[in-house]
Amino acid sequence: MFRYIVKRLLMMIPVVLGISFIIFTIISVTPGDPVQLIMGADTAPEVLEAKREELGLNDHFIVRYVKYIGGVVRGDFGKSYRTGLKVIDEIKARLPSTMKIALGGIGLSVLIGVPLGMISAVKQYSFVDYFARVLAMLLTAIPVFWLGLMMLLYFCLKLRWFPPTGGENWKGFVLPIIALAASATATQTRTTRSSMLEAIRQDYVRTARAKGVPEGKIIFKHVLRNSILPVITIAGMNIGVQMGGTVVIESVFAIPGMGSMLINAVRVKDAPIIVSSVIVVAVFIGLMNLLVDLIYTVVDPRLKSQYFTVKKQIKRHNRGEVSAAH
Amino acid sequence: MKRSSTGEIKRRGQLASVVHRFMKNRLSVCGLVILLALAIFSCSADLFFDYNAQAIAQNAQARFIAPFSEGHIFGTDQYGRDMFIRIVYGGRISLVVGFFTAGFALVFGTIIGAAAGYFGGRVDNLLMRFMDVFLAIPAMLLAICIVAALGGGLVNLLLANGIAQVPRYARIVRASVMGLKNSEFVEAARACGSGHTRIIFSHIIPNALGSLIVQVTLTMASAILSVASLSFLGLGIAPPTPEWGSMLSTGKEFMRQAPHLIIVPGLAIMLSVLSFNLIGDGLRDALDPRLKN
Amino acid sequence: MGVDMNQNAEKLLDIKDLSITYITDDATIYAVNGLNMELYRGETLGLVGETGAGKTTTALAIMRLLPDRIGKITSGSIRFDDVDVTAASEAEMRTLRGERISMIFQDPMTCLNPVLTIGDQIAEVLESHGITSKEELSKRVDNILTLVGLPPERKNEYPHQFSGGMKQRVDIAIALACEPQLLLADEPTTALDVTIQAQVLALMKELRQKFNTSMLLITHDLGVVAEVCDRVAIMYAGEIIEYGTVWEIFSGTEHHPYTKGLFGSIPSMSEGQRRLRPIDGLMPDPAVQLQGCPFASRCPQCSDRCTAEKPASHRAAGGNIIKCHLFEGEDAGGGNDAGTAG
Repeated sequence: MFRYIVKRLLMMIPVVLGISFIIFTIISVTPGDPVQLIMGADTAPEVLEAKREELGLNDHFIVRYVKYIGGVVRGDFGKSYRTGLKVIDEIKARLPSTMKIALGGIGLSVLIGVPLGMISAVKQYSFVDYFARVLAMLLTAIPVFWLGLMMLLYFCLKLRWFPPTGGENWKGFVLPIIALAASATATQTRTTRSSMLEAIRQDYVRTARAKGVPEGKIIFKHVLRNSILPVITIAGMNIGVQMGGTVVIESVFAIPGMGSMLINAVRVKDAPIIVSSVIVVAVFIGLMNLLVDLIYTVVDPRLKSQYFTVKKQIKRHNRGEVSAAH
Repeated sequence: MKRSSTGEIKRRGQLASVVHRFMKNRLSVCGLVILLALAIFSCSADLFFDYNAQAIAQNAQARFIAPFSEGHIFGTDQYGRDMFIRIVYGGRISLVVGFFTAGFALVFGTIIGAAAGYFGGRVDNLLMRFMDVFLAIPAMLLAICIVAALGGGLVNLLLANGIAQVPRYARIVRASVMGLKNSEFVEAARACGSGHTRIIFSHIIPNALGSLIVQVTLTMASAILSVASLSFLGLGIAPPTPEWGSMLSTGKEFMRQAPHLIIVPGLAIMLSVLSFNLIGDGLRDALDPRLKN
Repeated sequence: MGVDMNQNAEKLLDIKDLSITYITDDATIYAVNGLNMELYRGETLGLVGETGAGKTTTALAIMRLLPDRIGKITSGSIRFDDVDVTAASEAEMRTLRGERISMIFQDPMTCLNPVLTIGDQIAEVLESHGITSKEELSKRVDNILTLVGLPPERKNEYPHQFSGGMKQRVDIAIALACEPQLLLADEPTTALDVTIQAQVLALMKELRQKFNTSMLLITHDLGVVAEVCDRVAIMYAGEIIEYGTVWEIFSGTEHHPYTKGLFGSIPSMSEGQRRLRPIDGLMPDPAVQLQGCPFASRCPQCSDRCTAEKPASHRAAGGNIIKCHLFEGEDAGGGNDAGTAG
């Protein structure tokens, strides 16, 4: 188990290196000079040149990437071209808001989507099922920023229930989380419904019915436990989507998070900020995927034997021989 | 066989039965109708409207007219331009974005996935690890980074979204190629002396077509959403070009006095995304009735 | 039923004029059409027929486990002991299932829940029928595992850790845990190796006698029928077309043309026969309601009457009951309908 986790963590390293290199490269080799974008086109050429030299932008991009990634290994994410502030400090200040929204969105989508999908599957063709399917259909189609704007318009500006700019206290996080959770709730509902329906049709559910097991117990003990894998998978995949969605939602609610930092950086090709954000997000998503895979093995005994040590398998094997002779 | 003719089961061709099953699904037909309406409106817009005079030029006398009044069914915006006309022209951009993003991702994803799945071993490892690198961050973030490098504008947006979608297609195609490459009919084709390309494209890919078609409709939907999001953030298509996301972005400053500035473009995005999703769902059920719930 | 050995025995299961349809988006499937069947205490009835003849559907109907919304009993009645299965409430049925009627399914690979230990799955049936104490449950599970020939220490393992034959033993353990009055065995050995088949059959026979359980054995394997069953019903296109004791079916001279075909497609060691004689054609489309005999389209002795008029049941000279116009004049014993005589 421990070895498996270490192996997975090691496997993340080339992926993070790869994505950071790709992003660093495409930002560096494409036309558009960060210094000129930051200081304005009509700045004197000498000033621009001095700034370029100061930021080390005259080096070949490979050299710059190696320097940058060397710093990252030591925990130094470089300095922003634009503000000159340490990137690590910016991230430390902004990451918590983004995490709150992203994880809040995931939590809410699971809390609503899973039960709704379950009821929808168990009571297939009922009113609840119909309602859940239509709701899911609409929620996937609604652009997250538009939903945010509409809620801002109604709940903040008209009813004044929430502050129009988020990020200051818990009230400021309510609407962003709801807006972000919308589309994830839809996919969660749909996945839960279809994997429950799939499981309900399985032979072992018929066996359970033939045993005279009460229907409620069949749903929770037999159906849910078998359909939970896709449900967890989707929740894990949604985390990635949420990290993308926060960028937009932070802009709508003016929350000073990673997203707004990234948008400002993108406009001036501020490579250290952009690449560092990418690394943080990639590591976060990688860890979440690992967590999802670990949950799998808890839920499904078949996977445990595939992932973990061979010791148990050998033990079982020996026992199997004994019982076969029995 | 001696049997009453009333009981004959109708036998249809495969395509015809897919179409039949699709048409039986009312919601999907709804989606198709919405999409067709959108396509017809945007394609024929130039017949009815003058792009520069009506969608771009400002008219200070007609600002903030509410919907359904003074001959503007969707009202006018902060510069006095008719919202309906701008929405119609915006639809053009969304459809172009949808089709080309999906097309780009389909072509490159299929080539990469087919090569990886068919040749296996090192090629597979190399290509798929490369794809995994792209999947390490969300598609939205990847698109933002690519736009950061290339700059905004329609073509760059298409590229950014297309590249971000390629890994998904590569995975789908790889999976079905891996599943089919050892099947009897491929063995037979190989035994007949068919080359690799021919085997992949005329024997294997057609079998993956169903899931690819479904994925294409879903990609179109997500591309429309993605481009609208990027434009909303000011990274995509800049005003005054009538793009739905950028209309929302500029309209949001006036949303208290003229909420229709954000309601109308939002509904347009939602309806077009909805139509693609409905069509995708209908196609999935029609192509593989076993999956239908 | 005119079979003498059962004249005084008590009827456990009585199915009258049962018809079942499956209604799907594309078609209505007439799976069972006017089926009559009886089962006495302690006896084993073999239900034989091709795939798609409606055997499994019949068994599921007895448990009232036909697929929701799709499968419907359109006419007829099923009586199990003192319970009217077609009219009973869902709660009543639940107490019946697993305790008084239980079922062994065809494919042991898919019938066990992959995420629960086999001990849990055996305990569940006992738990659902009133045994709640932990020690009692554990003891009963150990006992039944020993009975089916599995070491009780393996009860904490998961289905994927067992072989197919062992899984089928677990299924049998689940089915017999509450010592039911009626066991429905749906091709319990089809998915198993031949050697394992023999073991499982022997086990079922032994346990059935131990608990005095009646059994409906669904199979398409005539060898199994000869070995295990007391009586045999041959099913074709949702109807029972021939009915009798094992002796009557296997050695009598007069049979339904389909039964003859069925036996003709089994290789025989004793006769110097070189080729099998398969039955030509396919079973009629179950989406079509037939006017005449369902076997007419494949029957070598088919006449115009066969396609136009449903045959009644007739008693052949050997004592077996045959649903075929060919035997009309012969009625050896009363000539009543197979189901209503009795």
